[in-house]
Amino acid sequence: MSGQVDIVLDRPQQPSEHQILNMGPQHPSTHGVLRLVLELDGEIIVNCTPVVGYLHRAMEKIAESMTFNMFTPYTDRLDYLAPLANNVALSCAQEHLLGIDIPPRAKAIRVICCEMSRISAHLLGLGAFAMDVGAMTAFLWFFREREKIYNLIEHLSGARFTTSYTRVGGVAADMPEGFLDELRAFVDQFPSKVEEVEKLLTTNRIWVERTKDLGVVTPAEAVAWGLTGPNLRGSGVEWDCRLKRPYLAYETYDFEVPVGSVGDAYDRYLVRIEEMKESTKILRQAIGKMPGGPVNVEDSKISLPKKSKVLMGMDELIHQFILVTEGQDAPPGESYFGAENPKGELGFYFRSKGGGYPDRMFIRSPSFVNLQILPKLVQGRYISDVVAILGSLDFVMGECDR
Amino acid sequence: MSEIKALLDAAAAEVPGVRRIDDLRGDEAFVAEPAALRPFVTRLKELGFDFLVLVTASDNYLDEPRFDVTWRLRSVPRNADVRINVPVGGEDPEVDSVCDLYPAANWMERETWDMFGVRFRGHPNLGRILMWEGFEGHPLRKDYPLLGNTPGTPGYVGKGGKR
Repeated sequence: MSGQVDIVLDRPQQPSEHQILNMGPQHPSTHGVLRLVLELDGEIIVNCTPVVGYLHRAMEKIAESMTFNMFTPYTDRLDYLAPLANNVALSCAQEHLLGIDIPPRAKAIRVICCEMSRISAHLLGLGAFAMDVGAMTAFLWFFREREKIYNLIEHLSGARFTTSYTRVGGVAADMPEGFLDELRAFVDQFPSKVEEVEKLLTTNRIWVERTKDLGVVTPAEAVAWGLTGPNLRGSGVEWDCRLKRPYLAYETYDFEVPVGSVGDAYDRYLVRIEEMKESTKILRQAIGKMPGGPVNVEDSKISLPKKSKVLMGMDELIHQFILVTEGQDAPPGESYFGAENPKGELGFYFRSKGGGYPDRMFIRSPSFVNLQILPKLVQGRYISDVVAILGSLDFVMGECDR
Repeated sequence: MSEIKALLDAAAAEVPGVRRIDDLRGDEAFVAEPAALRPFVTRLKELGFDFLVLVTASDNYLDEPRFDVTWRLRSVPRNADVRINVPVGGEDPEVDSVCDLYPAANWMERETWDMFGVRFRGHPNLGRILMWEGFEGHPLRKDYPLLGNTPGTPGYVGKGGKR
């Protein structure tokens, strides 16, 4: 594919002996279908133009012709490494638009969903990062832990990847019996497994030399380029939606927000490792104080009424029919809700003209915004550094292209 | 939060063509004339709104002005958000780019152009981003057909059944 360019480069190619190299869209280290058009001077990168959109599925257009709950399965395919967290973010955004509050038990279950997703997404992100830089063992050891989380997710929602677990006003079903015990067993052994991998990487000379002072982002740059999530915190900016804009009663949990000091790839790695430990702390607290009660709003205009009542009562039958055919009646207006997902702030901007269908839904995807800074970071570096920088930014193309 | 409110009201009063609107969920929201956008955003950036959350648009098909372009700015130190809507109409809608103020706007403005056909004056490379170069139309407009074949897509069947 060398030399062929069918897109408009961000900067025109300099008239010289520079070579154009297409990296991707099927390159294993581009984490999906990202294509990079690199302009090379020998092995040094002069310019880089990312080409995105290979996975574009017009999700925002699709959302305009369906009710709120019908869109939940599409969010499984956004950040497909953390489907539960996407489900939660969408439902919270819809509830923000509708102006409803959910029961405490549903909130605690959603917190468990979010933190399990965060651990599993960081495990894959760091594992793939390490493998791209040459550390195969860390990848395999992290995948062993990830498998345990997927078993838990399967027990909770019935599916390993396409969970579709949340609904407007709560969750699809209460936790199955014995789930909390399984989760506790996982949480008890997980920190020691993270430490094992840390021993492999954190002071490993090859790892440190490959990642230190690589792709440095200053705090001011990180804010100006709109970075969110561990990439922003790796640069030392203490912004976490869970603390700054508490949702799901996150303010009642005791956890720290780790931040980096230099803003290089190594700091972003450390932040993700620490976030996994903090997520474990949150999970332990959520298990400890799991409140009782219903897992759905007891309002028949928001949540489906009980099936036994639907079969016997006229009102419940009408409510079920209206909810399934027309959806929840949203007030006209605009709303935005951003949730702290593993990759950054996943936001949903709704514009409603009343009724059960949004007039416009915009997905503010963290991967799309985080990826913009890439050309700036790779300029003047070697091709092998591109792989390490890509790994440290940790994006998912399903979310980037929507 | 009233401190932020007073700050924003003072900033809006300095720039003609900006007025506050009521918001469904109590967000700080303003409507600006197209010409007032850049002065207002510049003023907000001076006041510490250093983070651009999103740029997008929505289509009020059959109404005029047809498009509402939306910016959402955030102040990280103050922990406050503000939304700015700019209504634009006409066959070839155009607003100012804020790329030089917020580098994060680059791809989001390209996406808005790609999906809605709203031009951003002063953007360094306003090309398509999610669709491919040579694609015709703007898919998120309300008058873009939901069904049918598009030239350039796999499985496209042209006139007379020819691929």
